[in-house]
Amino acid sequence: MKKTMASNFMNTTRDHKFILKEWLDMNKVFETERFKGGYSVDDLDFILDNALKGAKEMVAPGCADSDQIGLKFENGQVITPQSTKDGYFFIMNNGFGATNADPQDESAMPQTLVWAIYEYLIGANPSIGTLWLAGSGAAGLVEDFGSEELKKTYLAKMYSGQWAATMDLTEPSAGSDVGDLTSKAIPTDKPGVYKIKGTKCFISGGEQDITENIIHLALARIEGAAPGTKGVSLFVVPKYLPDANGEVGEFNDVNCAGIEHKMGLKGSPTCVINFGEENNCLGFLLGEAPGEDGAGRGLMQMFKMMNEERLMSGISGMALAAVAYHNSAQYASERIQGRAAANPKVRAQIIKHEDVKRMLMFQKAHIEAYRAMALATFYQIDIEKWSSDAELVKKSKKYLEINTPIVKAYCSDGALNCISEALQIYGGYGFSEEYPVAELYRDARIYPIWEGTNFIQSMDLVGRKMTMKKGEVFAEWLNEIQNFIEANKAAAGFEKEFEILQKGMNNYREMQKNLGAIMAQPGMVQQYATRVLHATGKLYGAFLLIDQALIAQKKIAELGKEHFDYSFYAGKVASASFFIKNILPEIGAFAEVLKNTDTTILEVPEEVFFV
Amino acid sequence: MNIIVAMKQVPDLQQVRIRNREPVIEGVPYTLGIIDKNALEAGIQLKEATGSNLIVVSAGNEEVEETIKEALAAGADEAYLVLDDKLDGMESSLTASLLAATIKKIEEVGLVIFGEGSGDNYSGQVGSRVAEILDLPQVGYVSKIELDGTTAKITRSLEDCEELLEVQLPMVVTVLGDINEPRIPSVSQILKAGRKPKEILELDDLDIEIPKDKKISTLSNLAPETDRKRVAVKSVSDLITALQAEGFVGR
Repeated sequence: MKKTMASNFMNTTRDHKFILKEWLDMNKVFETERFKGGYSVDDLDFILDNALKGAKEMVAPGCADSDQIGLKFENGQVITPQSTKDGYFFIMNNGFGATNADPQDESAMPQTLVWAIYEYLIGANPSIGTLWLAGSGAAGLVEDFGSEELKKTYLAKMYSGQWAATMDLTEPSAGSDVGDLTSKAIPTDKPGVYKIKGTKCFISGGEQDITENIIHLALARIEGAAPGTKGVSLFVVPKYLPDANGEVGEFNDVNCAGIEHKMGLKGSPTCVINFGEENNCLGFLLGEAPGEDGAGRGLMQMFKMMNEERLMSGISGMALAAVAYHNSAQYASERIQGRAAANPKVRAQIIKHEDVKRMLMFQKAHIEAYRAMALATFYQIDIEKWSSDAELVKKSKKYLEINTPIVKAYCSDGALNCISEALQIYGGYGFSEEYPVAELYRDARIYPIWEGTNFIQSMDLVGRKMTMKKGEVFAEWLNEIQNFIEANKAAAGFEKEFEILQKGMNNYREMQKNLGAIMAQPGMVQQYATRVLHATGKLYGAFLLIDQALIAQKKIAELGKEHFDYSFYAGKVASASFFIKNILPEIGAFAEVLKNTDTTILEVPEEVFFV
Repeated sequence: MNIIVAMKQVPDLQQVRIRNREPVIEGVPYTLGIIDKNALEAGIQLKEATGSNLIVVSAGNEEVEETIKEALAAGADEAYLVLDDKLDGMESSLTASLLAATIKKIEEVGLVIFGEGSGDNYSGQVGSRVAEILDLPQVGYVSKIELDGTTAKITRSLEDCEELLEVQLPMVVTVLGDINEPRIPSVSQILKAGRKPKEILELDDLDIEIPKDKKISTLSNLAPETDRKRVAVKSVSDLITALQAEGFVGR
């Protein structure tokens, strides 16, 4: 089958500029010791416009190759299209890659800005995202936990992207239950150096022909360490050992046994990696070896990177949903079909049909909610890492813990619903690979699965985050929304929205109460956790959107309807109003569901699924 | 040698909305003209090839100081800017006088590069006017520039031929939009752009007065009408006749 178009990258910078310049107080970040004297709010427009241009002109052209040519696997080597290499090095050489995680790099940008830009770069070609996105997290682990020698040997090349990186957790018999891994680390004569033996699977970018070396961050159990997650340690395992000059040296017995054939992200090599087939693979321990209690630091260390990858997954889903949204809006404005209810005499563009407009509004409101919660979370990362205000740092740390599973799961699950609506707008053409949305739908399907499935995120929220410090942290998080409602409920023009938001909050608390009543019964939390996370996402999204709408409303009053930017601000108000009136009330229905204390899932015999 | 690139700040056309066939320009953010960016890229490539110093010159309202960062990030070494809010909407003759006076303040000028026309009104006059004021040779429709010591080899792309010229430096060129593909600056270059030297000039520094009355006034600035003709036909032969009448078939 010859396809003419697999992707048509579209996005704008307007909402990102609003978030960074009008909503979040980026001066608080730019004025920290880390960023003082560097970028300022005045630079944001140019940086964002420039990044979008780069995404469009330098990265997006490779998207069709990634999807249609895909990857070749020959003699243990993965061969990528030339456009993949071009895209990778454009991102690295233009300062969009791991250099932003380098604490010494004066041109590094705050994470809030970096991830606003990543929405463009991921949306332009999601396949190659897996090849460059792991670099900053992996380098961060070496920076935080590596010996001076490891830092000296690896960091500069990892930050620059000259050497790519991966995270290696999953094994054929240990996925979500990572503590069951069987990869071994056998001590050598040299302290901190181990022989690694084991097989990892689903390793994104585990093998490729783009960079001269690949640095695997692999979990393995040192002989004699405790069983389960407790005894796991983390190792730097390069494909090629660096020589005395720090350049690529001997092969380190890291072999790719094969790549997956997937429904999406076809240009991203998802590899099975064998460490030590010839018993000749060296790994370099990060941090301390397990002591007498057999406890390794590996999982704790890996989670530092994993949390960033989880936020990445949420943003990636949103990034692809944004591309689908902009494409479907343009298509709806051009495609003439049928007659609108308001003017049945003439054939109309389908954007004039109410249900098409509903689907566009559904996408727009959700994408703006996802973007708001994702970038607000990266803002907390910047504050937590760089602010000198101890109280603010403490608060950011707590909110970061709560927000991470919500951003990962709510955004990645919801992105699929948004892309599905975009596809529906295209009608039959949406199902056709000649139009751009089909690929986006296929590509985005991975995000609810990887980096800890969305069920794991839900259990993390319900089981860990909601109960942190006996529930105090989550109560504080909820109270911030309640306090916001109290402070703004009389805002002119938004009385109805705040009334519904308060009702949504009441429903949420009712849901919590109903959940509490059934939590003791085994299996109950598990069957409702995903829906609890979605309810939390809806409440949080509604709060953020109306907060933005208050700013937009002021702007409209200031600029008037004739101003060139009126449509943007009117759109922000519409997003909040639509989300609050149409999406938020779904929490009430779920609170009712919980009252039923339904045990069907627990009681139904498994045999019913096989009849 | 100094290579000069003249650039004009224009409203970002992608943000301009059309209401009642009139462009809504008020408040629209500024950017640099599209072909001006090609002129800049040509200057950067020549700078890289010859080790010259690259200076951008521009005149306009106070916003120019911010807008010009884009050129400094892309590779210009410094900027000479004439700033005054009275310069909004100035006509080509005044722009040329200001730019020429600014260029006169720069020593060892070897080449002055303009885009063939600006991103807003595209009068296409400023390059030629500056060459006249500075008494320099000027070549238009330029698609290739090579510098060789004291001369330049210039390719002009004309409608049905290419003309190759050798011109003594210093000189003025106006380049075409397809001469190159402007580069995308890295973020570190954007950071450095804010620290590059800028020479801010006022009208008094140039000894130029703004004329009280404009010689050219814009009476209207309407988007072309695009309404369909709504021709109804009753048969295929009527359709063919209508298409022939419009010159779409049977030419």
